[in-house]
Amino acid sequence: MRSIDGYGLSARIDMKEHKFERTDLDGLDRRPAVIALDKPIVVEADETVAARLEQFGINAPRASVLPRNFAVANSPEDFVYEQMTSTIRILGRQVGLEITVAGPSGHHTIHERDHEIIIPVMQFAHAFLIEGGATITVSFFEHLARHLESRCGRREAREYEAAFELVVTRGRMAKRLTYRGPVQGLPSIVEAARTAFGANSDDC
Amino acid sequence: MIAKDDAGWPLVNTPADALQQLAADYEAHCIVATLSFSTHKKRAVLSGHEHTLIECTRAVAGTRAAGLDDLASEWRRIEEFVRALQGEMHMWILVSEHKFRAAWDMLVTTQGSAYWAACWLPNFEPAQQLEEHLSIVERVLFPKQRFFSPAMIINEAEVECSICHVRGGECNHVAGDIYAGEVAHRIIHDIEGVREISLVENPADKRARAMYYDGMDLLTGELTGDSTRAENKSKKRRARRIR
Repeated sequence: MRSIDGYGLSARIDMKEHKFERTDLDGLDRRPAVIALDKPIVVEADETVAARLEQFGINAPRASVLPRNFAVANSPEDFVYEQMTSTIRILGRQVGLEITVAGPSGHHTIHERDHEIIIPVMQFAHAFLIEGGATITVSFFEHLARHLESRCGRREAREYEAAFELVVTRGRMAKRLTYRGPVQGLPSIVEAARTAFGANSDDC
Repeated sequence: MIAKDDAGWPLVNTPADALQQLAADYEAHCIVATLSFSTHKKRAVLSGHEHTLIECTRAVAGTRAAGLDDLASEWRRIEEFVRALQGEMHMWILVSEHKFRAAWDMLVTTQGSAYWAACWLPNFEPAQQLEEHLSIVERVLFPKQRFFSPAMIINEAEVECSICHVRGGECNHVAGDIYAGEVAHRIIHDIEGVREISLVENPADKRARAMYYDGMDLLTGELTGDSTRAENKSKKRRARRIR
């Protein structure tokens, strides 16, 4: 049985070594929950993503899903994706947005609880967003929001708020945007991503 | 007034008729299910649900055969709600027969149907209420459980779409959506390994539960055979000490 580190879940069992140990949480609960924050979108500098893309020799795609173990994987062969990744790609295709999976081996998926609504971290190229890709990206997030709403179960659950992370890359720089708010407000992250590198980022 | 057939069952021609009938039946269903009606009465209601379920299944098949894809999907949504009603009544009958483990499994299956019915029928009030109703039933009827959740690594290239049978996620069918009366599933052919097993509160499958602890059945609180013997020995020892 293969054992791979760094999935960011509460615990893992190493079947080879016959040991059970805790691993740290990745710090972001992506399941919908009733929360209230002053700022629905928080923008932070992200030094890891661009550096890791470079380390793995991957050209940042226009739009992609990042693997769950992106920060700790030793090579792209080790990448493991969230269960919902294939649905995200289908939803993208339905509005004409091709979403890739980073690395040559994008064919692993994690099967776990809440898999229907755990939104994976996504990456968008800043150049794509400012060079005409914003409209289709907004359409994609509207489509994604509708899908998430349709998977929340009863009507009350649709009032819950969602957490979502997006990394926008520009050359060797990257910004991480964290959205917390109603599912319907998810498309607003696109405008925040467009201006993540400053007010004059359209000129870059 | 809804027309009835020779056997006394309501005649349902359209999905709207069916929803109207089900809305009328839902309250009676809840009363019979949760109050101390006889098992005989519950079986009668269950029989009614089974009849409706057969009607819905026939309607799905019939409309699909006629090429009425949207209508088939509408019937499929209703079918899931009826399945949830049938499952709940079955669960209550199992409880009244003291078959608690089977009742738990039936409740979990029913909750799955109720969840999808709530997703697929957002404007149908009973479907919205049923999911909440079942979570209350779970809390009231059964003790708090401890669940396990396996996380597996799946070879995505070998995952098949149940609608078009294309592998590798290359089609546009979303799992959980209904296409011409058929629910899209992802058929997993290759599990590369189990990554970890977690103790969780909200698992994907509530049937994966801790069953025994220290010789006690965690669902019923009953002691298992081994534990009863150990308990008896301990009682004897205590009795000797007292003497």
